[in-house]
Amino acid sequence: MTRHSRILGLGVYRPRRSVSNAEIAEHLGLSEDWIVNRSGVRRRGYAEPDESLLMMAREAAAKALASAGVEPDQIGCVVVATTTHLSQMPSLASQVAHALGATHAASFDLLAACAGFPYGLALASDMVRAGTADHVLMIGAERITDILDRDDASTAFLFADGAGAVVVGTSDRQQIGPVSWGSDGSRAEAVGMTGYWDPALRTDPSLPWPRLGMTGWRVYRWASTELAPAARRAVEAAGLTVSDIDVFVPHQANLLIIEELARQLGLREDAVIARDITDTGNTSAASIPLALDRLLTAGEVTSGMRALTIGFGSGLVYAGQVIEIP
Amino acid sequence: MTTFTIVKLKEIMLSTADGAGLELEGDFLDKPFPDLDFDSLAVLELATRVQQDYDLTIPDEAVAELTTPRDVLDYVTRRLGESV
Repeated sequence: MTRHSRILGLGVYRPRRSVSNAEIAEHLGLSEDWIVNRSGVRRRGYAEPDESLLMMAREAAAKALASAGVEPDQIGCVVVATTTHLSQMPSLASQVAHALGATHAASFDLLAACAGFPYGLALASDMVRAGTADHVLMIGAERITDILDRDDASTAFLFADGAGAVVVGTSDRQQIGPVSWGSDGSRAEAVGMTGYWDPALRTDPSLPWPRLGMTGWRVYRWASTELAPAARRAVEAAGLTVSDIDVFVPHQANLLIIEELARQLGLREDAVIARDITDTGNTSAASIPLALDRLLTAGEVTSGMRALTIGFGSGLVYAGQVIEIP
Repeated sequence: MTTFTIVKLKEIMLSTADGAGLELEGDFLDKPFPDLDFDSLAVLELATRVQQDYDLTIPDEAVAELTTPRDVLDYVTRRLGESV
């Protein structure tokens, strides 16, 4: 019998501190109305010093394990998608595995920026289907505020912190569809770090540290031309049509992109669209599980519904798949 | 031959999502877009509309160079001249 995969449980961590537009708009020379009109963001979560990337990832993961009814020692692999683990080694995943007591787990981090969650979910699903692991813990976790320039009016109002995790396990039918993914490195300048960890930084304090930079309209232009076709490919790969999709959970980059993608896809009138960006900001690799959790908590979606995800970000890279809501 | 006029440029700018309240009188042509309260997403919307209406493809690099209404007028006029 063909071995399939599914999401067994979901867990998230939202920072305690929620920052309103009023608290940051004036400093950035922006109006609160402009921020809402051009991004949809009204509030965003900023992690406090004790809410480290590891802490947020661990908390989200523990909730996902509890929701799935899976013990840490049953986990075969821990994957963390993040852009804000500010150390090349050891990986964050190894530390999360240790913190949880996942003593039999392999672990590694994955870098696909804001597309990290669907990239990781694709790997987790394939590992389970291939028999490489019976349970994979897949986490998207970000402390974007660590790489954010608080004076940059093109990014500072948009990005935020948080974590989301899923446990992927076996199924007798397809509950995570094939991934539709790709990349276009020619558009690297649209969004990404402003520099490298140049060794000269150690000796010349006048050199600027790398930070997150973005030219928003370049991302919007690419997203509004390339992503709807990519999302349609994910639907087709799952053997479905757009009218079969109950829920649309795109990466929460900007409400304008979310609305434009939903319009282009021609979703069913009653399809639920995730708009968690309004209260959460753009949390990069954590945004899709956070948005899904918001819909589940609000009772807007229920177990068994078919959700279409699509993540996209620095690279530029994208990935999406159809999932059945746990 | 198709021409791109100041009247058409103003019409498109005023019809953008955030364009209703724009004041495009006098010497607006040489004012930088931010001074006109016309942000980068609005410039992209303007470029996208021009692409559709005049059957042009405007690459990202060209969009990035469009800093005033006159830049748009000159760019589109030049491109339309090339395509004759």
